[in-house]
Amino acid sequence: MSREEDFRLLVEPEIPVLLRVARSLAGNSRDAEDLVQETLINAFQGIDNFDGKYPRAWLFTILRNNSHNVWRKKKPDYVEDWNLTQGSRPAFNAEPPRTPEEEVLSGVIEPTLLNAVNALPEEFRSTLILVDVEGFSYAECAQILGVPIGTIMSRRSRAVAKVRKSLLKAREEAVRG
Amino acid sequence: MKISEVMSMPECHWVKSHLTQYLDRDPSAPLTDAELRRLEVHIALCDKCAAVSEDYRETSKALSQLRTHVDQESINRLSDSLKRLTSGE
Ligand SMILES: [Zn+2]
Repeated sequence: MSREEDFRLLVEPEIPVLLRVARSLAGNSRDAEDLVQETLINAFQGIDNFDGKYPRAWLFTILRNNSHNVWRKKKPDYVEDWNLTQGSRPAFNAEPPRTPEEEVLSGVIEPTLLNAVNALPEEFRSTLILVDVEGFSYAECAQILGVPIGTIMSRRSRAVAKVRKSLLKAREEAVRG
Repeated sequence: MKISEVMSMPECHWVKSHLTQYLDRDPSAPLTDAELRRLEVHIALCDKCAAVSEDYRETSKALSQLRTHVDQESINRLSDSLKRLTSGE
């Protein structure tokens, strides 16, 4: 098998996870696809630097560097992105149907939650999205962002505290009317 | 530990700073048995920290429900472009 074919077989199964990580870093699905596209190109060009051991970790590093270089200045917009994906909502379709009360409740909570996440400083936000939304472990998240696990823990702890505060405030305002 | 120590302000602070770690039980950041006991004893006695703990649990759950699948079309486009890239097109 050719070297090119080896590369393709190694990298192709990682595309979905790369897209999820890219969405967490870039803040929306459109930029995520571009970011992964660039990552694949850079990986292919830099294949000589790859030791053949942990393709996912290697790809995460390239993805992270690309996101720093290109996407840092962009303002992420989870609100817009999640609104765009509301139509399909496969994650929600998998759950039992909601009662009308739950629909109302989620209508109140979701935009507030998205706004709270959007308002977080970048590092807090990406950590929170990776761990809580995308379900990565602390160790995976540390690897993706290139920081120690302790940093992930403290960022996440503070991010959850901030989001909780925003939700409490919104709830108070809703009660007051 | 005396009850006055369990219910002190610094203890609330310590508990809050370990709450997400406690709720996650992530294998890469395990709490010691002593820390676990310390958290559980405090949360059982302190209404404030019990409420914060419940809020964190709810926040985390709400966030996990935001998860949307990655778009299959996006995956297909990237797979195609990977094919083109590796076939030298
Ligand atoms: Zn307390």
